[in-house]
Amino acid sequence: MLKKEQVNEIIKIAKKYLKGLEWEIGIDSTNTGTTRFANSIIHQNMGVHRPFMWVRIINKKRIGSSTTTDLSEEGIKNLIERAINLSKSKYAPKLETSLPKKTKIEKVSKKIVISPKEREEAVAKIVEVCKKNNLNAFGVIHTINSSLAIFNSNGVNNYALLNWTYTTITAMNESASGFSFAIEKDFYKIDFKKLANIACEKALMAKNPKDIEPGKYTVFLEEPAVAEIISFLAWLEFGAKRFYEKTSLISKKIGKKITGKNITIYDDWTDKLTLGIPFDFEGVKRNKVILIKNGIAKSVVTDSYFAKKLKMKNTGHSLMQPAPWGPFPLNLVFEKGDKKKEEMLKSIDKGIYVTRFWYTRVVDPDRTLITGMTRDGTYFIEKGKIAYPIKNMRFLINIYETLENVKMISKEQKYYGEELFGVVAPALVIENFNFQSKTEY
Amino acid sequence: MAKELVNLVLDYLKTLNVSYGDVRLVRIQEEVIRQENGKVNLIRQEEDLGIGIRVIKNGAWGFAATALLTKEEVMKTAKLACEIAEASARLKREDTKICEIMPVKDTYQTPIEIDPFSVSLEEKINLLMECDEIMKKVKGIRKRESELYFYKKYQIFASTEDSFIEQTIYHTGGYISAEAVKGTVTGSRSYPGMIGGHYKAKGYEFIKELKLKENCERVAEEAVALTKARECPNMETDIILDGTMVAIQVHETVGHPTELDRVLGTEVSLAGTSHLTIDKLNKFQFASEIVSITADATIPGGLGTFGYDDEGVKAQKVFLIKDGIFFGYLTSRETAVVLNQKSNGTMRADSWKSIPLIRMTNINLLPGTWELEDLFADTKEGVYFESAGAPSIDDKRLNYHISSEIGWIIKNGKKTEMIRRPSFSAISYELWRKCDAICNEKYWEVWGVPNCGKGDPTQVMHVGHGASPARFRKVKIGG
Repeated sequence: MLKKEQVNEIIKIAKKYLKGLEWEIGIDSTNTGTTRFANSIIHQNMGVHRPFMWVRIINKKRIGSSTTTDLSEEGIKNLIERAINLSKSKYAPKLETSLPKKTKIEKVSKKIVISPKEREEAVAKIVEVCKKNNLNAFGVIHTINSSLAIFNSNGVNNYALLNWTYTTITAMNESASGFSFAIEKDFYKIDFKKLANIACEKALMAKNPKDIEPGKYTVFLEEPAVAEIISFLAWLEFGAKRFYEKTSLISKKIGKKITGKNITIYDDWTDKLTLGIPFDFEGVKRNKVILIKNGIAKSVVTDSYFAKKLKMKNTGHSLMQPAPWGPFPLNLVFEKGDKKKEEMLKSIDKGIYVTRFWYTRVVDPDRTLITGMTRDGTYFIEKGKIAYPIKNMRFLINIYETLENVKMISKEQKYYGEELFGVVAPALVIENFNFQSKTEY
Repeated sequence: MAKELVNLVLDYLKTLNVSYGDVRLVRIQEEVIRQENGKVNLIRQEEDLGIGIRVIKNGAWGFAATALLTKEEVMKTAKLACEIAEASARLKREDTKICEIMPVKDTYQTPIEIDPFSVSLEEKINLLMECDEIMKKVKGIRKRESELYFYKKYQIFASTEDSFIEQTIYHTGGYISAEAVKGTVTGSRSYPGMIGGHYKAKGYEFIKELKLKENCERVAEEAVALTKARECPNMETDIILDGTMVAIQVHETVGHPTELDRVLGTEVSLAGTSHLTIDKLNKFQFASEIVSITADATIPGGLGTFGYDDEGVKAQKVFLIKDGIFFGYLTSRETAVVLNQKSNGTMRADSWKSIPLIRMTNINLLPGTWELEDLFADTKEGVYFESAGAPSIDDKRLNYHISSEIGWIIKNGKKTEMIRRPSFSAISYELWRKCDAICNEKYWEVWGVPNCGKGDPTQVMHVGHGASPARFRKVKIGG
């Protein structure tokens, strides 16, 4: 990561080569510590420092863009020269709106640096718990310090410094596996022993899974499974590009019912569970955007280009520009319900309990049809209790239809995702959830 | 300057009591040009430069990497790699062992005719615009896209065992696509028909070989026709897969499960494990006896073609499946020790900042004897799947699902009605056991997959798959 003063120094160098031009610069600098463990030993252990800088030059309304990891003066000069050359092409993309206006936004968290020894000690705690349960420990601990700065020639001057830790644990033996995870801003708040115990408990319950036939079942989805489904809905439905092209279903349903009445989904970087950066990759302040409220389709997120095209407000959801795939909600929240998870489980007479999904892919975007597999803790529920483990299953669902069938929503939510994109999701009970086929374990 | 820096790190590592150390200095240049509906919406040139240092110290691995290429910073990074190894060592059960290799001093470069970075931007954009003009003329098309992609990697690999290898790798590719909409139905078609296009280890000459312009009209017309096509029926039937579908099936059901690191559990945290456990080696009937599959890093043009892997092991060809039997794994210097073998040279990292992992090279289904027209003629009822869509598979690589952009009902040996986004799912080895016909070398192509994900954090690797169309009997298709 780079301190604000270091960023200012880089901008000062860059300005020497940007005279007379409109420009935008982004600098993302990340220090990552990664400790991967498998079979209860550490097998990959890494420390990486990666600064990354991009520039968007506007030269007579034509855009040139370029990126580099070389932040030496020569590297910055080359970066800018490349972008200027690209902007000279008669075919270079046109800037169809102006660069965002002056803002100064700062969000600086206290830097928390985690040493390789501290990561090893955390892994040792996990291994100890797994050993006690005659299981092997597998997983990863990523500790990240990251700074993001966006500047432009109109006076955008935004900087954020974030820390977070992402950890997953899979406790496993030859016949069963169990999964737990945590994504926390503060490494020291993670109780690694508690997480390991959850993974072990799930693995021990998963021994000798039974075969059940595919079909439609009531399901209890833990938070990571819900987050996975919603992240695919985001790619298909919540950005302004497919909305503008009228290929998303939401583009035909604004103001109309699109899911069950109990569903509210919004994007809000201020939610305390998200990693939350207050500005987007053009430097525009992120706004809270209600996407679906009480089952009614409300809106989508925009960036400067699509806000102009759609005559909508710029909601501050730009990805790194040029962004041909349009804006995207990085801080999704599925609104919590009022049920305790125990109460939700008790309500199910017969059904399937899912810990998480894996390798989900879109089968048909027109129908929000997706498929994927269950993984690391799938059980049959009988009379409100987990009765026995079952072999993993392939689901094939239409997301909107599935969101018509949500019967209960938990009070508790968890943030699950990868790096800066995640979903704050509750657990759900859903009826008529379609499992298309099964596997052998 | 780059060589001096690498040698400086190696000399420094020798003073830090490492039992093994390697250094990769990597510079990757990429260029992407993309148009949509006659407007260029992306021209980007990217440069990624840095150094990655891997050591074994106290019997355990450590890795550190930085983009700041000053003497002070790289020495600090080497020291950090050692500190990290010391931390790893505190949880070890035994010392890490790697198989022996002969030190190598060599250079390698992808053979190219035209350096893609020397071709003018205007020429590249003109090609995209000409494609757009052709697709635009087809009535009913709502969105036209096309893209070109160029990649160049320069790498120095050097180790404390006195290897010093310089490699320059080029990859080139692109695609066109068209989209038509009728009511709530979208018809999407692309060419050359692999997810996101087709790529090869070649220069700009490959763009000419792709014949993008020549395929624009057909692609656009098929996109429109797909809006009127019916959905895939649910049934059990014979299927014929085009080369792209076979390539993806090879990737998901043979390439990944034969990675020995997965088999040994080191990818559990994200990618999962494999059903092809060591006890099945040389015994398991994975496929019908006409199926043989190799890993071959030596063939011209494959995205998995190189001189040496990222451990300095020379590129090789090995069998993974031989006459239907599960025959071998993709290995590294560390995992080969488990099998009492030498590494077959498949360790690659996607960048200086990534640790090398076992990655597919070019995983190839060897060609059979059939002419494609004879294959159709020999199929009474079935479905032909064309242009691979997104696959999905469980974390042991058994339950496999995939769709294609377009399909055709086969009746009495002929392609008849068009169907939209047909899909099928099957248990992977059961599917391969149903393979009863593979087309000959005339139809064989090394398809490029530039986006294979593995590792945690995920590394994106360029890999290749040689394949020709093939038939599989009695497969369950549809939802």
